[in-house]
Amino acid sequence: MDEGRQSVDELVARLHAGTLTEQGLRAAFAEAVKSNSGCQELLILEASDSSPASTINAFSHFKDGEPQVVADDPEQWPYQTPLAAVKDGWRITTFPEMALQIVAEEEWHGVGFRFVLERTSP
Amino acid sequence: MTLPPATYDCDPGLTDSEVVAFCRNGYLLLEGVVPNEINAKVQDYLGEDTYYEPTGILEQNWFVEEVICNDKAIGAIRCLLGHDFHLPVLMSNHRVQGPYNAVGGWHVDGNYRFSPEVQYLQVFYYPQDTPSEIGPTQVVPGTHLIPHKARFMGHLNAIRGVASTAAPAGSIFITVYQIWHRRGPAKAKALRNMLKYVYWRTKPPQRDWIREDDFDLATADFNTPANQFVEQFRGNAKAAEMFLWLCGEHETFQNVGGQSWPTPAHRLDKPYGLPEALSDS
Repeated sequence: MDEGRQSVDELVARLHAGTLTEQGLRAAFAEAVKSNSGCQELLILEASDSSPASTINAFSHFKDGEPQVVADDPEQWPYQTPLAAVKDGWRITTFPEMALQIVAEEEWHGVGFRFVLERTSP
Repeated sequence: MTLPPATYDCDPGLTDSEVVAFCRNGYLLLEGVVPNEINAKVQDYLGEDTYYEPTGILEQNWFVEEVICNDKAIGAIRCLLGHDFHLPVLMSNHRVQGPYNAVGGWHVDGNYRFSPEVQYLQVFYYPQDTPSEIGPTQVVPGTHLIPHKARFMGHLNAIRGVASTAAPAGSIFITVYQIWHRRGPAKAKALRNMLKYVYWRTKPPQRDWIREDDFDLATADFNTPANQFVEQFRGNAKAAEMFLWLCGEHETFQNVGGQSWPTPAHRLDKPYGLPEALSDS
């Protein structure tokens, strides 16, 4: 039996039954750490305003350490807002840096409001 | 073989509305304006001179006459740079072998200056059919009005509003130098040549292109694609400022705010803030 793949409930049950060994506990923790050590996957989404519900103006995706091909047509982008990506399991790590948007009242910089999101690739 | 003249003049080829459109979009694509026999000759030349700067082609009279001074293109350039503009003295060839992906690559070309001034124009020429399969240049219309730095664009990939310059052989497209652009993706196994060169202004700007009798600055359409990236109506002001600069009336430009010119609206009378110098145009 692979003790490292057991659920917490199973481990607790074995603890109560007195059958959980030190080796089994270590294996379970090792497996838990391993399952969260995949390659980081990134989305860099430039939105039309500071809300994570706003429309995405630019879409970049990095996976397995490589930039990914993204369709030119925005209708084909997998998400239309940063929140749509959040609903799909992405975590926002960076909210837009507002200071960059107000360098001067009459000037603008860049495409929009940059949200950076990440998840761990399987 | 003789060296081309340093400067050139010709009749203007754009109207008021076409100049406004250039100010809005930042580029103008002229499809198939160079004759096919010249395109073939250019392809042959570039097969021999594979250097990334085949500047020697500027010493070929046939090339200068049919490409650099191409009837359709030069009339537009004349309007945007004024009379006696300076001809290119450097030729670049963006010679790339497909297939390849485009997963980045957006940039503004080096030594850019974001400004309403049009002191020079960057021009591209396709000597071969350049459909989307062989990686035509992509531009983001309106971004000549949005200051950015090339090194800050490294993470950008797909951008809303991108436009392809896919076009038949003999096409020329004229750009404001600082427009954001990149090499588009190419699915086909093919070699693409694309020549790129710059014309320069030598005279102060003035409104000496083809005037339209019904052109009305008060209602001219300055709604630029840049507006999707910026505060509402700011793009209109930027495009209008560029147009006034080209008219030689930059000092009359004003954006007093609110519903003033050049904000688009259905008005009873002339918009507040309309430049007096051109208000009767």
